Amino acid sequence: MQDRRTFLQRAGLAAASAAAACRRGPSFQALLDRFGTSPALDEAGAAGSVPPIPRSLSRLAYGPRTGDVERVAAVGESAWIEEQLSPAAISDLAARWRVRSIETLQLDLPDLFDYARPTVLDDLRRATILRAVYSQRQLFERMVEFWTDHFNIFVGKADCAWLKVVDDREVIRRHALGNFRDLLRASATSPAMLVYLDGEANAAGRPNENYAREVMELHTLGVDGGYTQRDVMELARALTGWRVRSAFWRGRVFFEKIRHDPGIKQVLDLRLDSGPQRDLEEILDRLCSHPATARHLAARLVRRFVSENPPESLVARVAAAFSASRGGIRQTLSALAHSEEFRQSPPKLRRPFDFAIATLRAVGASTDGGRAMQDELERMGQLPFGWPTPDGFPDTAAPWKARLLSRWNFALDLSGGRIAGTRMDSELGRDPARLASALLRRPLEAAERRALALAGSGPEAAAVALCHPQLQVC
Amino acid sequence: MTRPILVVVSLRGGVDALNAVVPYRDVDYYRLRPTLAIPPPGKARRAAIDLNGFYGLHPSLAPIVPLWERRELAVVHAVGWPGVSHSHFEAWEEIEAGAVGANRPPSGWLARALALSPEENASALRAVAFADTMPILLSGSPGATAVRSLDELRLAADGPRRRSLAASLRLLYGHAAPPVGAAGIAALDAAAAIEGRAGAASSSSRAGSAFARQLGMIARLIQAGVGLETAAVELGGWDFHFGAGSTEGPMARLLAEFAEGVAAFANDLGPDWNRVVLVAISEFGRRAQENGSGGTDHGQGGLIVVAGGGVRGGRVAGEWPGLSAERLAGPGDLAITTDFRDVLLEVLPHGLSSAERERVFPRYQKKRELGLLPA
Repeated sequence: MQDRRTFLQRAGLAAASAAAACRRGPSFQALLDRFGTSPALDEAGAAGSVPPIPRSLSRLAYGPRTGDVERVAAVGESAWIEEQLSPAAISDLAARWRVRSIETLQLDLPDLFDYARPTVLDDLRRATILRAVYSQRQLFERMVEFWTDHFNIFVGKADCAWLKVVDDREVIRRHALGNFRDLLRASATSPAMLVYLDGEANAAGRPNENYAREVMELHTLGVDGGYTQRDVMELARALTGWRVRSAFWRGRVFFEKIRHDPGIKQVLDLRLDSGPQRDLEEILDRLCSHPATARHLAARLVRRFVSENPPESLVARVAAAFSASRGGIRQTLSALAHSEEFRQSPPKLRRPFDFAIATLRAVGASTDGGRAMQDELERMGQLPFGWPTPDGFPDTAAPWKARLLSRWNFALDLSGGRIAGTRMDSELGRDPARLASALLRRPLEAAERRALALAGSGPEAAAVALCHPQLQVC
Repeated sequence: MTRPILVVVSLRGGVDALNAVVPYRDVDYYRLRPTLAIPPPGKARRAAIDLNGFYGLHPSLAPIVPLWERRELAVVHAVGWPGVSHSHFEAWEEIEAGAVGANRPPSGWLARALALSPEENASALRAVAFADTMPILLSGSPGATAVRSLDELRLAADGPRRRSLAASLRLLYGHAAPPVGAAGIAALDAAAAIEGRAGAASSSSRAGSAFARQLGMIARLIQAGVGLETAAVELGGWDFHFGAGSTEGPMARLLAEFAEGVAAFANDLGPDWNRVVLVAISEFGRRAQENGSGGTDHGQGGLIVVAGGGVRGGRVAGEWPGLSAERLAGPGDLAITTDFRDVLLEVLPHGLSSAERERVFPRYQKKRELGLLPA
């Protein structure tokens, strides 16, 4: 429960940061101006008058927009994290205004099916990009991305393009910072998941193991979580009967009793004989309270936000927070974000989506998130909702680091004005060294200055600044 | 003999080996597959294509029959490893690491095989993966490049500007810390290696699937002589728990895509086909008994296809374990009679020392001689 004192502190914080947001933050040009000529630059950097980018902004947000670093410095990193953990209290007009007109986002099934598949996909991806770039609720959007990977749905399968729109809204976004048990329950009976992992084809006498396996391996216990092939088969039987309508109410989920296997099932240490609905709740309770689930989720969160070699001490603490809060995502994340391991973690390679969004935010580019921008993400290997297998886009550096050329080409397209609907200020290419300095928030070393001098000036030179190796990591 | 160019095709999702290379003489096959079975040769308009009186190819694999007839294509059936996981992801990690169980090396077996190369190959295009992300298979190989298309190996700027950009990036990445610094230099080297080789870099003229186009790009890299030693390519979508179809349907279409791609690849290469060994592998086979939704669940014994001008083909290697109830493994899977590493060891260059083999496939002793390549 929240006592009065915490409440007052929170209220004060919200007011303070709202005020900070209202003050006109320094423009990007102002930031550039601060890095005037080279000698002054060295002094400025050495004197530490330009605060570096805090880890929370680079990892729990998609990098800073102009003024964000100063704002976090003003309220303090811990306070900023707390504020981000309560997204409902953060005014988010800029993002809401931009996605408001995207009609299909608000529609339910089966009305969505009135729209063509490319429209529905374009809309969903556009909203994803716009929110990542413009939302003030940055940690919320980061968690949406995390859960989208965790409960991956590939829109190339069957009706998933339409069904994912609802899954995104009612499963992922509704519960992204809520409770894991609720999230898992919503996912288990989400039409998109029922189709993607064949739950709808799972029937008495003809079990289909697909979802039963992945829900334990990927969504909850983890591959070493102690379940057996027999548990997979029994769980599949217990989950029989859930279906997705194909005709009139296309996409609506219903339970068909005659397809449910009424026999007794034994899953893990549970004996299931209370009827289909109760069985489902009991299974989900058991999976969520299982220590292997706490560990698996903690390790995945730490791998995403801290390091691909998760420090054991941190995983244990994050898992403990998960268990203690009975799957409270906010509490779990809070244990991670306030940890010393998080603050001290080594640089992590940005995934392409993160790199692209962080670049747009850093240079104050505008985007409509439209097809051209989506094509860029596809060329970099991370078109949202485009990962075919249920494990989601990889979290480690090795799969991505051999694709740097495609990122450089994105930077070239961006600075060259070749991405329809996405624009950055062409003046930024006039002095690429200053641009790089402003983005890195430090003076350049001699070799870096030589490198940027080789590129001359103009759009391509601006791209070199955006391609700086340090901007590939966060 | 020069080292063969190894092309590894990852068939992601778990290919149903029983319906791809059909044991049509095994009566249990028809009992276990009431709706999915492929009819025996001659029994239907679309039926298995006989290979040797026991096995037949799925009719959609017809494009690779000429390779079989020229004895340039072999199949190893009932392949896997003891304790193969029913998890796609764990199984792939083990296959690509070339090691099973705990303490697997973080790099891929193909990356380690590449490191054994006796002569120093400085080409930035010695190892190319056609994929959205770098597969584990080639992880740990400093020079490996991942692309979806060769066009991506070109910086998007014109002529002289491109050269100054590349020089500028080279300086920046040369001063950066690993791993990003090294990855950047590798990318620039790859772009430089392809620069000016219009034939190799042009987008494929071939119609057909992405898989066929990517094999076409590999063929052009080989013919352009850029120093390619190995390539990895993927064809996914085999996880048919639902509605796989039999002689027609989604799996039949995917098999056709595979066969057409491989046949066109052999054809494109012409005499260079003799320098290539193509290995197509999947993470596991599927449950012998079809499930209730017209598909199959994850199983064990799978298959590997090995093809190339120098391959001793025209045969199905390995021992058939049978499909009777007492012969099935675990929850009803085709048993495993050949370890996948026995197959892969045979496509490594001859004359490796035991220490070198140990580096590629740690803690493994070869069990079965398959004779897939001439000694």
